[in-house]
Amino acid sequence: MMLKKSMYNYIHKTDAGDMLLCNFVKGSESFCKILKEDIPVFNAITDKDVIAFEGGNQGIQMLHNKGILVKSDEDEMQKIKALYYEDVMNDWLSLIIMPTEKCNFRCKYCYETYEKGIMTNAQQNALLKFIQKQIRSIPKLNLSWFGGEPLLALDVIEHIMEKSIKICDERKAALNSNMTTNGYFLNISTFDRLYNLKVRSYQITLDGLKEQHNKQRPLVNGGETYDRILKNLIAIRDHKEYRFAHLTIRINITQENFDKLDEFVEFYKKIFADDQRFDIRFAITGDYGGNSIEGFRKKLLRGDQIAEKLKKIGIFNDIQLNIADALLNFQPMNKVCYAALKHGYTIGSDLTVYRCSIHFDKPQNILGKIDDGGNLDIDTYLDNKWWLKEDSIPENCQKCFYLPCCFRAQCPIRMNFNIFERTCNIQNVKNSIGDYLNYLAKQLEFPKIQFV
Amino acid sequence: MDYLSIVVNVIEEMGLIILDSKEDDFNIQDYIIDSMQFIDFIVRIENKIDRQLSDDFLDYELLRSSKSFALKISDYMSTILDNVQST
Repeated sequence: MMLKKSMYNYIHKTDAGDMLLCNFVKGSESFCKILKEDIPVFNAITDKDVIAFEGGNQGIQMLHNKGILVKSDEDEMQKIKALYYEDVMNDWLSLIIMPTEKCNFRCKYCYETYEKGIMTNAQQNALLKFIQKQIRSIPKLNLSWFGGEPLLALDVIEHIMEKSIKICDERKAALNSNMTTNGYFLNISTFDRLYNLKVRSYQITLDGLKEQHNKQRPLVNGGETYDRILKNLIAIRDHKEYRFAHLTIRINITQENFDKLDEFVEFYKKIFADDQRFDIRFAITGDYGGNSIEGFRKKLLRGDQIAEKLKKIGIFNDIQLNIADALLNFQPMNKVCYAALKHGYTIGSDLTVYRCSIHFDKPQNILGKIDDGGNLDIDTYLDNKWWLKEDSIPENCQKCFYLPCCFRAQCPIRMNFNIFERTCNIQNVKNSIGDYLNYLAKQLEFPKIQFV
Repeated sequence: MDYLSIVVNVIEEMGLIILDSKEDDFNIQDYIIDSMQFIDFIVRIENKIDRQLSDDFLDYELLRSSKSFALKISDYMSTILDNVQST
């Protein structure tokens, strides 16, 4: 058998001089390591363009099994394309629902307009009819609650969840649900009600310690929000009976909280790190337009500044810190945006159908409506443009080790339409991939490759 | 016989959740969405009323109104009963 190196490997040298390896077509199952003393043998083998392998050498066999070495005639691009279509054509109906587009917060970087109010009863029923019709051919349902602030419309969420559970039970369909909420109304009683309605994963933002958070995420009237959110989070933490809950604490990093990021990380560790239901997401704060960002734009930071800071404060060396997405970053197609899913839509509170949950003002993102009878009345040509890959992959992307994770679908509105510059917006993840690998190697067993 | 209740029961027996008010007129096409379901629906109605429906029931457009559909069954059954009595 003739082998060659995969184009989609990543090799990270540890401080101890060992090598950590990963192949992004295979994902985390490819994780392995080569000890310092075995590196010369590895280099000698893999320096060749084509490696003749007749069996016998367990190391080469293992590298082949892990996708680090592939058959010399293998078309890796075809494999990645197949992975992409498998991913976007999955059998989940994935809906991001905005039960209201109003919000009780006025975050400094928010892109939303807060114009549309709560979904009416008739609209809720139309949405449920749509779900019931779709679930016949798409047997799994994922409902993501978004807004505005979704908990301003708790009744709507409860109604839709109750009925969706019944619809899915009748069809023996799987149902998952999650919520992006500011956490202000997520007291334990509301959490309990939603938990029993299968809404079990949450993303809640704490933009730093009290002072920084309150500056960045005030109430509409300017009031403080930090204490109440934290109280809610601690109450959930203290209720261990919600075993299947999952809470991601997100921090949108800006100049406001940048200097005290290390203190925030320490604080997070003290409060949440012992509870595996919690993890932390460090986010770059983007400029997605809207009125709020005016005047705050100067506070935004570049991804490389943030990445450098995170490294400096040692988050990648801290296994006590449960970093969200650390493992996910290595899975094939993990960076494909939800807006590229064939059966993935964002539903406005007036039943406008979008794909992306950010660029609501762009005509390319306004596909149509769900009608009173629960029919999807959308521009299918436009809809297909969000997920079909018609353009060829540029050479720089073809050679990028991370192509199996994005396939240039990390931001379809950027990549498939001529609105924004078609630049890579996951450069920062790519730049930090070695750090993530190092972080994971402290927690997972990376099998050793030995050439005998 | 309450044919509207029969229609509602049949839809629910098919594993569909009725999201409209069952007493009000609703569009059965919001629930019965393809030919397979339509045939199943008609056969289930026939089993409930213990009669075979005539071919003019095999028109999907009839499902636009639950009340009209129930009324059509009622009329059909009356006709059958009248015919039975007259013979």
